[in-house]
Amino acid sequence: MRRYFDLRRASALYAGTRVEAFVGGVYYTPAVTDALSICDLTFRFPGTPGETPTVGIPALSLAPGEQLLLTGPSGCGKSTLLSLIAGLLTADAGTISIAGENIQALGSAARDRLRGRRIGMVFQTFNLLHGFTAAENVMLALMFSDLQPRAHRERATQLLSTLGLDQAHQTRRVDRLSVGQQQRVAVARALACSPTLVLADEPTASLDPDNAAAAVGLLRSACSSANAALLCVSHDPALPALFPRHVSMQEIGPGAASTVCADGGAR
Amino acid sequence: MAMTDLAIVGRSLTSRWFATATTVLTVGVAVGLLLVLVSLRSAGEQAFARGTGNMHLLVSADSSPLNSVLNSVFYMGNPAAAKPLSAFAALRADPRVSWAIPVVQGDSFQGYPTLATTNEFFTSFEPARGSPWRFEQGAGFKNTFDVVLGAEAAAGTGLRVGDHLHLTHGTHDESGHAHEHDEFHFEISGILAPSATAHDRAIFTTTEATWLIHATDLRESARNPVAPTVQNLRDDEKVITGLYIRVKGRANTDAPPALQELYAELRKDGTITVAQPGSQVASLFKVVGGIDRIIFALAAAVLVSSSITIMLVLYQAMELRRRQVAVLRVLGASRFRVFMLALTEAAVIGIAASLLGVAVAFVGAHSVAFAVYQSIGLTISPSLDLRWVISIVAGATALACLAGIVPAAVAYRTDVLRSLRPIG
Repeated sequence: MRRYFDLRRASALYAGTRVEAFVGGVYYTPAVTDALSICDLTFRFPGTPGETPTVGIPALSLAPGEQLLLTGPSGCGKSTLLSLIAGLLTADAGTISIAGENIQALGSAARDRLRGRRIGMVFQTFNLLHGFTAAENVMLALMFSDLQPRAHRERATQLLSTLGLDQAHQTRRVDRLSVGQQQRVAVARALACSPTLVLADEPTASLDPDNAAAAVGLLRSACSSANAALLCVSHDPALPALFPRHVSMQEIGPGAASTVCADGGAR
Repeated sequence: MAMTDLAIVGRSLTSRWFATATTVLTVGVAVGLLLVLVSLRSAGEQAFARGTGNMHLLVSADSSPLNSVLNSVFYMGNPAAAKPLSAFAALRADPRVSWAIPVVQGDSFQGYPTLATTNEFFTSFEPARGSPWRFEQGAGFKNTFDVVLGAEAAAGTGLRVGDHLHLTHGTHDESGHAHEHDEFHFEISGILAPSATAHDRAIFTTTEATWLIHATDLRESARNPVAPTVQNLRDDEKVITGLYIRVKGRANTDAPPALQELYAELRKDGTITVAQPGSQVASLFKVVGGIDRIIFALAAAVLVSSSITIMLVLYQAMELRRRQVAVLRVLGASRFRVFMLALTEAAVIGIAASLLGVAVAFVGAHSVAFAVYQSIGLTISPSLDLRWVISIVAGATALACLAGIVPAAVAYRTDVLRSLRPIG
């Protein structure tokens, strides 16, 4: 397991550089802003009894384009973490930076804008809007992106074609598409705004093992070619084999080794 | 084409087209009802106010002032009694009187009422204050048996200047047959331009012609062998049912000082009924006004309750669409934006319903006007006053928006997480 540390705050000399600590060895890498950087995050649902927070993560980061699988049993706070990252929940403490911008520090409307421009989401049940065509579902996501409206149709068509959905199916209502086709539309929608980070919530939970592998393959290759970081949460025991990097909620949880955070100094 | 907020609203409304259509219909009918009432009320008031024209007093032998006005000016019934013209000689010569035009009513032709009068009716009396009679064709009476047609009577009978006709006595007789006066041939000398008053339905003859017809009947039944002529008509045969009077005064005064004085004097005479048509119409509308305030309140209540329908329909739809709202939030829509989407849906329903309402009102008002014309012969020209249309349309849309606030608040408060989880 690897973990990233950033010493930018520790020394002016190293300002803007990234220090990667790896099995004792220390070496420098060029300056890159992380796609996702979580620091000292704690969150408890209001009214939950006990001292243990629902989510407590000292540090977690994803380099641009990096793909990480986060596993854990149901109810361990995986989905809650995704909502915190997407800015749909407000943390009790800590920072969550998307491409260097702390989404938790933003106001409600600014969070929504950041989410629309930088984050794509994929769900177990796809959550496509029925009554709209495949292309329209992708264009709905583009409404909240930086892309000019007149370029929306072309972008949607191009994305869906790349993901293997032909013209005839693009103009069909999503509720009349097969599960596999809906999966492609969901991935296309997540990548529509050219996001920095894609969040996938149990993307394979409703699929058999063969289809699950295909779906993960689709998601991973699409994110790779779009150069979007991918954070996938799942309790599917078959998935770790399909991801280059894999951590469990427990490993990154409150008990994890103390780290140095991007903006918090040494802890 | 890119997706827009309006496209989302449109799709949402059309995907529930049945609920949308019924809601639009409900609200539209309520808006239409209000507009019909508004347009008919002002049109009705106008029709009554116009008809009395520039006369100050109406003298008749009817039972009540209101009856006399309704009969002699609006042709709603036949005058109850007639009096010899000679009885009014002093009044007609009174120095305070500008003009006193005799009218005789009670006959009809093909369902159109007749009014026997003198040429003064066309030259001095104005059917609507400030707009004197204008002849579309021909001119007033030149001979005893000349006839002038009101615009609608001309259109309805298809008669033209130079055509001949026979007049019947009484609008109906007991046996249901009209008694035709074949002995007298009338010729049409003129056709009046429309005045938008009840007079447009009338057929005008000379008083002498009417007297001659009736005298012929009377002398026949009295076995009097002497055929009536204009010269040998007796005073008791020269009867009138009403006298239109204008009191002298400055040209544009409606209440010259002499009016009240003359009115008071005439009221002392127990044999006649004297009415000020303007104030009779006003008092009539005071009675009607109380009733239509109730109808107005009812129409407004219907509008409010149909707004509640909007709220219910959209609220229910919103409960079903929590997932859609949550998806939009995930894609980057702010709480405010989804709030506005829901509100826009309500507004679109309100606007569509208002437009429907205007159409309903247009058709409705004209059919009611037609029905009124058919049943009591009162010509009302309903017009949708733009100010009323705008304020009712704006009011209905505002109400719809108000009703949209509740479902919009549901959208605003949607719990994104919970709404996106798979069911079960």
